[in-house]
Amino acid sequence: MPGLWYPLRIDLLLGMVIGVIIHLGFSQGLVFVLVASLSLQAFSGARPGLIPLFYLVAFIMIDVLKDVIYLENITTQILLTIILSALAACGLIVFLDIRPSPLEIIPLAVCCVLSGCASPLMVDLVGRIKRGYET
Amino acid sequence: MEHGGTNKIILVVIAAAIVIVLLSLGQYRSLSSGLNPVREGFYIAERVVTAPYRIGVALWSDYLALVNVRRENKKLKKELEEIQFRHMAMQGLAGENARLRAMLDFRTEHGDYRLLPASLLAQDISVLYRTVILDRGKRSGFTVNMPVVNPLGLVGRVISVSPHTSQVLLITDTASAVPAVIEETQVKGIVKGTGTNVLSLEYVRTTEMVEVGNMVVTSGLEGHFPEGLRIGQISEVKREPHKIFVRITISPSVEMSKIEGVFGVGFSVEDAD
Repeated sequence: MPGLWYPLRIDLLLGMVIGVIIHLGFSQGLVFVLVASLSLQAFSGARPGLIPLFYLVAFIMIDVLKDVIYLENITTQILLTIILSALAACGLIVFLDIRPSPLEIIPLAVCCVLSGCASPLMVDLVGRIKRGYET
Repeated sequence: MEHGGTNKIILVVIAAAIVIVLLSLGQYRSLSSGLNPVREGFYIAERVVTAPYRIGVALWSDYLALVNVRRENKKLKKELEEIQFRHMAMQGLAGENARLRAMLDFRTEHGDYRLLPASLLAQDISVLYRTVILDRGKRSGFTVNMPVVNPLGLVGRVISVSPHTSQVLLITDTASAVPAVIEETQVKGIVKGTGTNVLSLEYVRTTEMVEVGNMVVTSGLEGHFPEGLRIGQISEVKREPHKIFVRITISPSVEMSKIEGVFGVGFSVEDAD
């Protein structure tokens, strides 16, 4: 199956969204999320506004959750990103009426896990950029 | 004195006779084994005498040779690496050559269409949407709804253009719908993307003749796609009871994960004129 891994994508923006919530304020974070997700929209065939909507909802949801869960924990970051990626994939599958075969589910699951693994790095990156800007 | 001279003559004659007899009888072969110790002796003597010279020469040349060999080895390794790299580059060029040749053949075959070549710039960032971005846009003649093909068949259609890029909705995307016809039976339907690596042919009645292996091509009915472009081959036919339409699965002719070079199909030459 050479084309099996064709749809493999790693979402780095979700990790950055968490990083923005941890290291920046809501107003700055909101602008960043909007600009970044609008840029991503240009490279997708998704209905216009759908990608910014997803990241905006994720941003607001995580901002609310930050008072309930300890976002600075790496495991939390990984799990949160995996759950959000999985929710997005499931939502799209239902919304677009896609019936992937069991074999095609594998790359989707791998995408979610890899996005989760990348999120602590992106959180750290946002922190470093902020510290670098401040000094 | 006379006696000694006679003896000499006799000895010479005997020796000559022995030689003549040996020559005439062909006895050298059998005699050669008897001569072996002589040859061996000569060999040993020669080796002993020339040993110091040979050892000197060997030491000198081997030492120099070692230095040279190391240098030569380095040089050869470098040459080998260069050759391997060139070989790899040539393999890539051969692949590209084959692809371009196929595209050229396709262009010659479809001379009645204005074919605009383009290459893949990027793929969709999301997992479940199937779009690609091409490196040619409005300035190269690409327009919205322009069909995009490659030598193997239909790839998709342009959904948005900028001056230098075009976004193409692949036929595998769920939003894609292409009017199509089964080549063998002329049964018409709509090919829809499923979001996976296969397509589905919709609105074909269960009473129609459809078989696995039939080729599906564009029907040209809608007007966006030219007639006769290959879409794919029917891989599965499911006739469910009490259903009006048969469920048909198509394997696309173009493997979307391997697209490199494509053509935008413009107006026909006649129309353009």
